[in-house]
Amino acid sequence: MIEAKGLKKEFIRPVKASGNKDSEPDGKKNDGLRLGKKTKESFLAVNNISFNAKEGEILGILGPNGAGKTTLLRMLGNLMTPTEGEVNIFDHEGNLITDPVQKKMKTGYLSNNTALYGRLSPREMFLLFGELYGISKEDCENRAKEIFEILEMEKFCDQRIEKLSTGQRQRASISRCLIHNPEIYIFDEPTLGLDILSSETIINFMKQEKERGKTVLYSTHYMEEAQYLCDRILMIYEGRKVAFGTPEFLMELTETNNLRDTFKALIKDLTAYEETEDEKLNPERTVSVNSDNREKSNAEASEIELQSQKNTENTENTAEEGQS
Amino acid sequence: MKRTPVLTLYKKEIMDLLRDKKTIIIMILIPIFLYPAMMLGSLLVMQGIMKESESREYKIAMVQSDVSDKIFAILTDDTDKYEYKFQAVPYTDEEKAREDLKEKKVDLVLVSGDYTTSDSLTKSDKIKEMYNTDDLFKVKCYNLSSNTSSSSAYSYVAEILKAYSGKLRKEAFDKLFDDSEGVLSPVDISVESISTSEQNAGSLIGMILPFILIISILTGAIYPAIDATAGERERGTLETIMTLPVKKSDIMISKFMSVSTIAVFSAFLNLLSMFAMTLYMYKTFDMQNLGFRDFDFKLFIPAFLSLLICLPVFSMFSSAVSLCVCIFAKSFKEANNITSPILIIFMFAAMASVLPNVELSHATAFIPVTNISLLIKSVFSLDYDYHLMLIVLLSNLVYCILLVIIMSTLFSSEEVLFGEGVNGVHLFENYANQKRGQIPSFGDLIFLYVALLLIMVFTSSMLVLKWGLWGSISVQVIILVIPLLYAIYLRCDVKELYSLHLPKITELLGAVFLWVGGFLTNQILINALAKLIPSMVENSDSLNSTIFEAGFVPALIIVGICPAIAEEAAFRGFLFGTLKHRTKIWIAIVVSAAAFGLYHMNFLQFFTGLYMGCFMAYMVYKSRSIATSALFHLLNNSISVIVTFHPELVENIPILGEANPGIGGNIIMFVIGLLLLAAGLLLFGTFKKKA
Repeated sequence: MIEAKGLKKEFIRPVKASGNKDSEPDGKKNDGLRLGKKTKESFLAVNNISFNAKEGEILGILGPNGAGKTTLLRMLGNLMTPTEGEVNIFDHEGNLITDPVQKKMKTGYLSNNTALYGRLSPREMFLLFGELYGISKEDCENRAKEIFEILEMEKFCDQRIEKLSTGQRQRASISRCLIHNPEIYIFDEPTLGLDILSSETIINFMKQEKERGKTVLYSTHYMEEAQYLCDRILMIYEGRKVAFGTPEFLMELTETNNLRDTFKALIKDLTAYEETEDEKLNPERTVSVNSDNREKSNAEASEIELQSQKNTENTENTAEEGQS
Repeated sequence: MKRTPVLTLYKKEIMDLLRDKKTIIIMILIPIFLYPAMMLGSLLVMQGIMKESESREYKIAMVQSDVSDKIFAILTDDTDKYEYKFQAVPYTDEEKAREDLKEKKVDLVLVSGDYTTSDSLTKSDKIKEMYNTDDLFKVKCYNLSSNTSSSSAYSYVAEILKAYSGKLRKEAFDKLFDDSEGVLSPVDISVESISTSEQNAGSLIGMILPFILIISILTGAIYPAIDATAGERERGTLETIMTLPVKKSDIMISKFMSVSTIAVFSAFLNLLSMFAMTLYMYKTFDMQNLGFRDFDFKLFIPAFLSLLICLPVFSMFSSAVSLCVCIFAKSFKEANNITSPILIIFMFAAMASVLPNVELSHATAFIPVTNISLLIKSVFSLDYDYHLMLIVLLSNLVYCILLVIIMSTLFSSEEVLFGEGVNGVHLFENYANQKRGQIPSFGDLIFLYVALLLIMVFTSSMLVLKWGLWGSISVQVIILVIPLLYAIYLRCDVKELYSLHLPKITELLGAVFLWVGGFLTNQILINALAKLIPSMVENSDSLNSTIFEAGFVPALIIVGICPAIAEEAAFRGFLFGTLKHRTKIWIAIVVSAAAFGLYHMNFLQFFTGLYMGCFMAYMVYKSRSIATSALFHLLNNSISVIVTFHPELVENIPILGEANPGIGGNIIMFVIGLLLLAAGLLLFGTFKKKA
């Protein structure tokens, strides 16, 4: 099980100088001022996001471009350290895993930024990475055979990766995530730019893994795919959680009958949302986590979670968390 | 059994690098083919030019006169002796001949005159008696000295005519004296070089070899370094590798190892191909003329052996430098841009071997790159100073370790990993973009301290030479002001960064105890070190003599007080103040102390600086007040000044005042030192349990 508690990530981004255009015609007068003009500012790419994903569940993370999906997934995959908040990963017995290396052993992370070593073949890469995951050579070879069969990779698994096609590469990437048989998959737009057949292989694979009791976190822009595949959906916009629940619940909430319209409806509502809660984008604040804050974010999380009251299991779960 | 991830990562890196055609070309083809081809080619061209100038036919414009035919006969008389040939081109008009010389139609113009007819040739009767007047003549040559063939034509002609003149003189003197040789040369000058042909050859090799080796090793390291950092970022595998369950430092160490391996390999190939080249040239060309007779190659075996040790170390250093730099680049192109200044700096530093009078010493042994260059020079001059070699190797290893620590830390930084080539140096940002109260980054530290080092190297000796004592003070001012201005520009919280808080009385007392304890124990350690490596001590005594000559008060100000402010601000203020926020505290303490030690540019003081620097940084960390370490520094330096001027003050102190305290005395001193250290640490609350 994976759980996010009050995740925040602060970045610095370039800012287009606004208002200066008006003063520019005045000429040299403003040179002194322009020296002091700000061209960068800090902002929260992910702002106070909490949720959890259970075993045997596919959780879709949706949001427009620049919503903070990749940053959120990077933090979940332990590639980035949150500015505030924490990511908790539990094993089957419900024990919290704290060692960062062990956390990575439990997760398989895939994004369109995780390219493969072009000068190696998928098999070589598989064996090398297997060694890093601490798998013995024999086991690794057997596993390679098994996985290459599932993903239909036998034909090209000894070619150099730089010579493979996009679909073949994506399958090789997925095989990379499977080496260590992780319990949690984190896929960032895995079907982006793939043809129907290739993306079907990947979708089928996710369904299979779900049935085997794995947790799949996955982000996408394809609404139909998400509606069909996801058990629950986390909708984010400008770094903040907008809605969280089953696709049916979200559609009901917005009185729409497909996820595409739900998405549009939710984003439309956000202008109002923004006006009320804008004070959180304050870059001057300190970046320390104190216990008060955590409690607050916890409370907030359960509050929003309660929105999806239809999912009774879910509410039970949050109650349990509170006790533990 | 699970293998360490570093080895697996190393395997992966090497596999990845070796499958890149460009790496192979740079690593193998260049050393094996390009350098020998270049050397052989230039040699052949040189030889061709030499041969051509010797054997070609020179056109001599003979302006006709009574003697011109005779002169030409003299020039062509001894054709067996000289390879060059002359062709006479008769001219009647001197002006015409000179015009043709300008247009390079002829190589030389000879205007000659008969002895008897020429007015200017009025010689005394005595001369007429001595020589046969028919033999005598006067020649004026015109040449085009900017033109090689014209000037060599002149030198050949002059050579022959001088020989002719000498022959005549000898004949004339033989008639007059029995011992004409003695009369002709009353003062006999002769020279004989006692340096062996090996030494001659060695000093030549020692001048050229370091430069070529250093540059080829660096180019051998830069390419794989770019590929392993910027290349990985560009190909997008950086994020992949971070999904693996390995520490970031392991990744960086494996990268360092693989790049070093390739650099070392290419260094050996370079060395081998150069060696083969030299042997080939020795065998093929006639080296007898160049003083290579009875050449004993065995003498150079130790030189080659020491090269075998030095080159891997230097390759590691080059790899670490290139990795550290390339890690900031987001693409191949950017990495290439950043590395070119490194190449230029290395080239300049390597030039040291070519400069006359620059030799490996206790100071130069600490300068990276230059020290290797000078080391190679010295071993090939068959001059082996094993202590200096040890310093060179150790200092290079220390730099390597520091650089690996720096790059592991850089590699852990998300700014560097995910950033769009984020600049680690805040100085390049607008002032308005500086975040109030920020902590300087590693980029800032490296930038600032490298700049400071360069400023010190280039200006300090100049300032001291020009303004003497005021120069010394201004050097201290530079050390104080530049980091301070940097911190102000970055809008750092100067009070916090420099630990400008009031200390407690107990902490000041603790500083005194720590100093006495540190001083005593350091003394013993230094003595032990000096026993092990005696040559270290010689150099350090005469260091501050010029300042001490100025008298007690100036010495006290310059040596005692100024460093206690300026050096503390630079090392315990800016450097340690930054490091303590950026790394683990013990790393911050040791790194700031090591930098402080290196700053002294002297082997003994390096150890003292490192040892004492650790205490000073620790005190600042514990008390949050730089006053403690300033007091420590003040005590240390001013007491040494006082003792230099008034040695009688310590003479009466038991053990410490004795020139040779013996083992027992040393042990007592050490124990007292340790006790005082413990007391000092107690006052700083080291042994208090955390609340």
